[in-house]
Amino acid sequence: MMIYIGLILLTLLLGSLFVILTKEKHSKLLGTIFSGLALLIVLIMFISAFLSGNSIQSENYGIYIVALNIYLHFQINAISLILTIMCSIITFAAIFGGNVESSNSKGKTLLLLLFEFSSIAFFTSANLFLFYIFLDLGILFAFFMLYLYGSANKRKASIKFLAYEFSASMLLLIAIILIYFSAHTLNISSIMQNANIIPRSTQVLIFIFLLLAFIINMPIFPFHFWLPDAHTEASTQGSMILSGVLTKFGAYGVLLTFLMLPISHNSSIQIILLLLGGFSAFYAAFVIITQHDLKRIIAYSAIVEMSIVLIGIASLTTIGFDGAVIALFAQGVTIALMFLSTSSIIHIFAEHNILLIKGAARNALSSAYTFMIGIFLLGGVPLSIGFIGDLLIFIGAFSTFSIFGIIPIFALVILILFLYYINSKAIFNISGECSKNINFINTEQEIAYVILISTLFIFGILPFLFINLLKLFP
Amino acid sequence: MLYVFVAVPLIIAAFLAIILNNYSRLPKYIALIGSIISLIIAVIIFFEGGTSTVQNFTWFSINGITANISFAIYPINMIALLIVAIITPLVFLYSIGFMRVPSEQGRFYFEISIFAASMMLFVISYSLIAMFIAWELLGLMSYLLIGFWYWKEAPPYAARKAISFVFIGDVLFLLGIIIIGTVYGNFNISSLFSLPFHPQVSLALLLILFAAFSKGAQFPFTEWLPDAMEGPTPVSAYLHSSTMVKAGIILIAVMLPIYAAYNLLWIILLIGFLSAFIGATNALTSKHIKKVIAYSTIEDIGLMFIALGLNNIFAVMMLFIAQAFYKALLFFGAGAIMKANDNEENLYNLHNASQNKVLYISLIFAVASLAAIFPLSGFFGKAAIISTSSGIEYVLLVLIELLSSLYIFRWFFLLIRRDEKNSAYTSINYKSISKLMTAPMVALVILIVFSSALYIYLPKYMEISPNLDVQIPIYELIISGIIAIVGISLTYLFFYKQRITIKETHKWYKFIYSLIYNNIFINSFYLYFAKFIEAFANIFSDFEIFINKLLSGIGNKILALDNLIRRIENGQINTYALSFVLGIALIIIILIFIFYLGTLNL
Repeated sequence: MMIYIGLILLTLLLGSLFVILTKEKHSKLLGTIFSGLALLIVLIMFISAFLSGNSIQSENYGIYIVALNIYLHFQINAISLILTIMCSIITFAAIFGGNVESSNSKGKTLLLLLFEFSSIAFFTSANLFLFYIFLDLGILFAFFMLYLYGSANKRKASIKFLAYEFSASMLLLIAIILIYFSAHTLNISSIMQNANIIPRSTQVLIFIFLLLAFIINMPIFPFHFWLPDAHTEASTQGSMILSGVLTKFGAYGVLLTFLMLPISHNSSIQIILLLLGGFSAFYAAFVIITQHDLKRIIAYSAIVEMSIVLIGIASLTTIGFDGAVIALFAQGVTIALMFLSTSSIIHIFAEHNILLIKGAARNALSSAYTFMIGIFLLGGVPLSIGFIGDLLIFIGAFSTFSIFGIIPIFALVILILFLYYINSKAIFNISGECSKNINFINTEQEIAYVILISTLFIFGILPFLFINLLKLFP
Repeated sequence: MLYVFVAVPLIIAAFLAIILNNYSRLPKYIALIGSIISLIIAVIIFFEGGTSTVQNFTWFSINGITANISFAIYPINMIALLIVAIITPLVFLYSIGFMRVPSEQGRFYFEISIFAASMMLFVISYSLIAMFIAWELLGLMSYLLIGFWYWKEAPPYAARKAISFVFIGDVLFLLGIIIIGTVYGNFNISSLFSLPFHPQVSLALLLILFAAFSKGAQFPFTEWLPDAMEGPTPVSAYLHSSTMVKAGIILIAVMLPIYAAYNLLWIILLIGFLSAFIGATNALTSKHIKKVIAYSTIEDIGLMFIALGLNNIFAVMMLFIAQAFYKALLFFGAGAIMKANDNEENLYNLHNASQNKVLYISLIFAVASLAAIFPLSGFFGKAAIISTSSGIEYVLLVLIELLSSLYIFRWFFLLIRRDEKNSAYTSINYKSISKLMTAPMVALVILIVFSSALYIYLPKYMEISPNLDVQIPIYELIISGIIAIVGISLTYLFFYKQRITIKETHKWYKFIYSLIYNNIFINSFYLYFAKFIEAFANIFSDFEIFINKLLSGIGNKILALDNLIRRIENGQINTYALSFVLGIALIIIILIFIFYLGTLNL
């Protein structure tokens, strides 16, 4: 009997309980231990799934709501397994080395553990009811992370974040209600099998609601306005989990939408999504050029990457889907890494304007190098997992959309060239007067860099770990 | 099978070098030993001979697309591998004499060893995906190496310029790979040879061609290479002689039959001529000691692309070999001269290079080889190209020859000019040039002289069909002799004796000079392109700000609405009664309206 997911969730809940009960100075250690334990179980689950060649595991825990026939039911498949690994690695690194500001470690650790709990539960939930609940829980914990521990404009940014996210969840709720009354079940795998019994017009309605809800969360162009503010104002750990994990909720949702609803396999929908994704990628890339705030630049680059993921999904090929999942993993870890290094640079020099930072490499060498490696990784350097993701996404896009599918890669080119510009201007330019460092970098943070970078390269050199797993999934 | 491990000693050496960074004496020797072991392996592979079978390793396969990492040895890449393997220890030896900063030893030898290893991997790989991995590693390492002295003013910007062009090239290559992978279901070069014609593949080939142009600093991408001079001199020598810029040549040379089959050779020819002219004219006008040689590299690579465009693989490889030796030697010499003159870079302020006899004589050989003087290898390289051309191509090639003879002798005579004032001071400096720096130069002189013999052996080794004419006609010898004599005598008079002086203020001179020096159309094109992007960015950014304001405006309006509504709830019974009556009236009106609609029987 597999009880991995239950074990992980229990570990995280226990961890947060312990963190509540202990003193401030021990909380980080406890958080590290419990999130490390969770990471360990996730990895064991991954290895056993890889060795047994059976990626779909189901777990039931008692009856929860009899009337709706909803169990506390968790199910893990290849996609959710990969996203779970991503989530646990990012939160582990965030708890261990992400507290750049070295303040409020108790509250932050508690919120991070609770966020990890709800996001793993979200990725593994087997019915839409739990899906909805844990999505909202995750949003709530992220909101508190932002509202309590953000920087100067945190209130405005967090309310904006909440407004966008909760309107998205309302749309999701409507869609779920529609699904329940037309398919008479909320179990995701049984919806996938019997989705044809849902009338066509209802499917269209459900599809629109679901897509809107998830695109707001991802976020894609017309609904992205919450993201730059939220990411910029959040604390380091806050922006790590916001960009690394929370935006993946939406992408996972879009993937599920396409897997659940047969109506979505429609060429006009594909073309609309391609146009949306392509425009969104170019839009964000162009907006980046005019930005001066280091964190804001990274926030927009997350939009570019998510748009490219959307194009992979829109290709509706197995390769495009697998590429999208792998790119989500790669992008989540890379963006978290970028936020960690940029926040550290901002914290060390107490300055976030790239025009005013000069020569970060002199006084924050490891952060500077990490920033540079982060650029390589965002650009999809070969032997990192990002390369596999980009390669598969664009193969999928090319086979569906021909030449139009690969044009959005030039948005990535604009982004990367601009990041190289920052690198030469603000980071690795130490001739003459340099910015004075106000704070110092700590060793734990450097270890967090190593964890995140090596994760990307290990899975990049051994891409079949993920690809063979994804093959098992239909 | 052995050839798979050719780069392994260098990779191990690289990691040892970075680990042992604290012992500043160790990394250089570790790297040197690693490169020598790689050379030995390369020589063994060469003497094993023959075309080996392709070694395939499946990296991953997904839904009908298989990504293989394949390696193979065949004449073209064997030659390239040997050249890289020979140049690498020489560059490392030179670096030991050149790089005197103890704290940065580990980093330098790590980066340059990985650079060497990735070039070797690129050369031996026989699938597009393996090539791409090595290709991008080359680009990143060149970025790190060009920006090596990041505490100076210029290197970070030069490195950014290089990586910008190279990254665009990488993306083009990636797109080409994506198209080929989608069409054929794998990334093997052998499948390109065997599988049928497909229209989309010609697009992919075009993309890969432009990727090769970006690495080789050809026409639309010429600008990064001269700026790459900001890197340490050994890096420049290495970058220009056997790695990086040659990667594009190897890539196209391997796939040349496919390009011929898809009728794309004319593009290669066109861009080759364009770049050769840009390179030669800029080399003639540049005043920077290393930039002259850098522009000359653009010209040399252009010539190789011309040879590729003429479908003359033998000429490509001959020039490939000759160019590697003389270009490395020229950079070694330039580095030594700069070192003896306190890192002065302006050609017109450098003098007395003849004071060190080893340097002087080896430079003569390098310059003569570049100017295609018989019987040095450079002559055979260029003669092999010229002998297969005809008509307008022939005339253009002779013109390029003349230009290169002029610029290189100008460079040479400016450097060996006597300056009696500082003679004593520079004499000490020149005499104290490290033996570690002059030894590789002597080795290169020997290679330049003896590689001419390859003109006879190479066709047999490359198994080129005997109907290819490799004989050099006698008039070719005469023409090349005339070109050399014209170049020598003109530059001798102008720059060494300075008998004839040009009026630099003359308006025609100014016009021509500005035309060829500034690369006018390329730079202004990039400027306008950047402006265009910026304009776009401003539009989008304004839109972003507008929407943000609009949204917060709507929020404020809703709050204002709230204020409005709040006034109704004022606790006065009169207001409530009034609204009650108004509400009843409204309902009645609506009911009447509905009733009226019902009677219409629509």
